[in-house]
Amino acid sequence: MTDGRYNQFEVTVPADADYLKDVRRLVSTFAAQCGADDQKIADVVLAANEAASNVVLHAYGNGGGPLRIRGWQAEHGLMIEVSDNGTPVAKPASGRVGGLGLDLIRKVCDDVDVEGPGEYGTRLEMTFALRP
Amino acid sequence: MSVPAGQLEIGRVEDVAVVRLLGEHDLASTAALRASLLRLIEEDFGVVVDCTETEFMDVAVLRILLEAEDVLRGRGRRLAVLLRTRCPVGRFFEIGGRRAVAGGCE
Repeated sequence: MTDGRYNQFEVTVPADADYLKDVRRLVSTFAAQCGADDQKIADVVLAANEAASNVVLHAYGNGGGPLRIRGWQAEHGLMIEVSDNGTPVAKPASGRVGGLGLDLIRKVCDDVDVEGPGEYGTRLEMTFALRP
Repeated sequence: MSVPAGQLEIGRVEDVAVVRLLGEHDLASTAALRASLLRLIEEDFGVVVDCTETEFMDVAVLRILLEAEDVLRGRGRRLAVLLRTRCPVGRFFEIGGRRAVAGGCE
């Protein structure tokens, strides 16, 4: 998983809820290797899980598709990117139930960058600062 | 590589059902949770969701709890969520879930 200086990983799994636990295991291990403390690891796992869940729920129809997750360590933090190549879906409604997942992601991340949904799918990049 | 989904244990004390969420619960386990909660509500139980041994919970599960709470409110009953002072899902409720599930959290 390491490149000698900074940790990184990249994996593609089916966009299926049965793989969410595996995603959490992978992200948790990666965050720990980057030196995150227990609370930060929990935040990273929570955010990555929500992003992956959104792909499972919204990216593809019955045919399914790939869920890609990348992680890489930066100088003062770590980045997690979740992406798909599904077709655009309706934006989640705001309010009590709709949009809760993205709201939670924004609360635990130091920065969030979303591209899409578009012609080539959606990409969500999450930044987590780590104390030096 | 596959890991089993979280488990449900359901106990009944008079007219209150206690639903214990054991292990990790996410989108994969919501169908079973939803079916169990709606069945208990239909049988006119009050519902306590015991998260003291829940190792992980996400928004998909929270949506199910909110739905159950709405149905219970319509019947004049409440949903309570049981947490320990320090438990794995405490952080989740602290960030966003606690205020979304009215009452019952400690």
